[in-house]
Amino acid sequence: MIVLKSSVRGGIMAVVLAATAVLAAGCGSGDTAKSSTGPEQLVGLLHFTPGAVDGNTVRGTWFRMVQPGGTPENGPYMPNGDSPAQGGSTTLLAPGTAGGLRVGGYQSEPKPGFAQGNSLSDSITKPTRFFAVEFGVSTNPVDPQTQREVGPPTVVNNDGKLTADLSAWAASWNDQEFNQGAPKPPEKQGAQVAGSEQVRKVWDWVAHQWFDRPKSDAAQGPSATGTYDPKTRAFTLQWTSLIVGGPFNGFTGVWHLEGVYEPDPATPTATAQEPHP
Amino acid sequence: MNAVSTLPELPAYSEFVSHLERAPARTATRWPFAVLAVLGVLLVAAPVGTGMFPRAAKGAAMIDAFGPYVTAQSIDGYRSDLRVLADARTNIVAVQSTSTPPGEYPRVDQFVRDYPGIQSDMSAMLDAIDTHRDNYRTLAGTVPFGVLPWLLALPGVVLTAAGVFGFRAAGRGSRATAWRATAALAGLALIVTPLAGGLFPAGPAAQPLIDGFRPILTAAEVHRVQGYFVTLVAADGELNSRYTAAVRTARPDAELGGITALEQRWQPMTSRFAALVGTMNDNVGNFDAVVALNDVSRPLGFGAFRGLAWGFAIPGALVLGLTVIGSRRPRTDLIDTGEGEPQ
Repeated sequence: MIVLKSSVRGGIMAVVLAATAVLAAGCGSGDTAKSSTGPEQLVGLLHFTPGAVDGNTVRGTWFRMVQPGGTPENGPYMPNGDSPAQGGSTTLLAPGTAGGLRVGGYQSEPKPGFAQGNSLSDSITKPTRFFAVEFGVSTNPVDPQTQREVGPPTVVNNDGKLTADLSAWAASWNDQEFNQGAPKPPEKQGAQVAGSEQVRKVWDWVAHQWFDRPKSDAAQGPSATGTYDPKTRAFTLQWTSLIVGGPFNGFTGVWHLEGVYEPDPATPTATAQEPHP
Repeated sequence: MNAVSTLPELPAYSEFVSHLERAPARTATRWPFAVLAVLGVLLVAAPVGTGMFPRAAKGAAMIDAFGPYVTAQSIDGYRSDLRVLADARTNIVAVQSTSTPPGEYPRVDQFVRDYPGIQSDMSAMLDAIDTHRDNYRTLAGTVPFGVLPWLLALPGVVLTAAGVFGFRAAGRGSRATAWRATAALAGLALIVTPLAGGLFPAGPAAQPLIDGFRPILTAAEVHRVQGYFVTLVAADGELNSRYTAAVRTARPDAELGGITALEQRWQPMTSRFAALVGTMNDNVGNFDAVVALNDVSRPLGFGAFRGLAWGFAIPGALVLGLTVIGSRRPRTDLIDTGEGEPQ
């Protein structure tokens, strides 16, 4: 048996892949000579650019909350008296202790998650005043509001277009939890007849294992989308997320993340924050 | 067995008796078992057919969810919050009556304009909750709602089995004592459940509670209260970020005690308010399920909760009666056939 060294094997694979890519490009009907690398997972840190306002223009990372019946484009928005941007309609966000969003791992809410109503989730974004009380963002294996299992954030780059599963994105404010993910996990399970939940889980497992059906608590709806420049590694991500249940039921969060992607092949599978003293 | 002596010195029984008379075959009374089986099927079918399983579970969830809010302390806290907001508004009105600070403050103006209505509506809501605190406590003190359908269905299953097997055993001449005892235990459970589970006092408490909560737990009311919340937080934001500072600049001696008290109280107040709105929102569906369950018996002229205890007790009493019927051996004129002791 001939054993190739891994470097040689890697070289051969690279050549084969490159040839395949060239052939695929050659077979395309487009007039442009743009090369396509295909979808690639971004794993690492999405380092946020802090939100900033210039007149009526906002840049960087920010958040808006649309009142029920409004639209993400035109509002009406919840006017945050603590925000100087666009009359309070937009709340500017700054990177948290981790610098932004870790893709491929969790940045969990600490326990306890609040101090006098102020969120202690400070890894992704710096806790930001919203009606005099600070809100934070976290990503958790079990979403705090819906109590559904959600996967860690994933981002796929496809020729400069980003698609992200941010179903674990959770906001916390004033002792309240709001899933703000895209796609959305199903709403919190309502009251169940004793035993029915166990039956559902068993059926869910069977259907998933043998009938290839998606699990009933799988996240649904549109993903977050954005742009990516491989040269500068600059990215944008934006999405809207309807709040389902709780005091802000029917309100919609509008999120815009902006910054620079920092690849990190050694992403931990879960990084729970240490409890605050 | 008709034993015929084979001894030659003894005469055969048939030499003295020309006609052999046999004891009639005994059958125990069977119809009570048939009725027990029918009762059992009805007890299983009733909670299934009325949707009691999911509706009772939702009722239980609603009772649990409102627990923290239906207390004197909680209601007093909310009333106190409303007073703090009213004092802040009075403070703002007083400031505006002397000299309005420079600038536009539309959210503060809206608060001044809308708050009397908000306070009135919220006070009415709190009054309704307060009025029905005892009724709520009575209902919360019963056996957990989610368990109730099982407490009907499980005895129903037992009675069905006891009825079917008892019927068969009675057909074979047995008194089916074991099945009677099983049915009697199920009947006893049906009688004990409303007594031990507090269902008799819960019956009269449910309807007023439903009537009291009906205006509160609607999607429209939740939406309206959410609007109040938006008005309040927007006004506080404006007070916080611009208004108070502008007043202080224009009139350093201005009395702003009401606004200051609001700022000090703001965080816990909004946390409590948000929690209440969230609980209301999340239980609109649960409340609708409870109302639907109560209306199941409307065609009979009463609410289901009012008849709930009797829905256990009456079948229980019937079952006990049925287990007694036929339990004593039916009298038959036994004739000694020489076959030994009667069974």
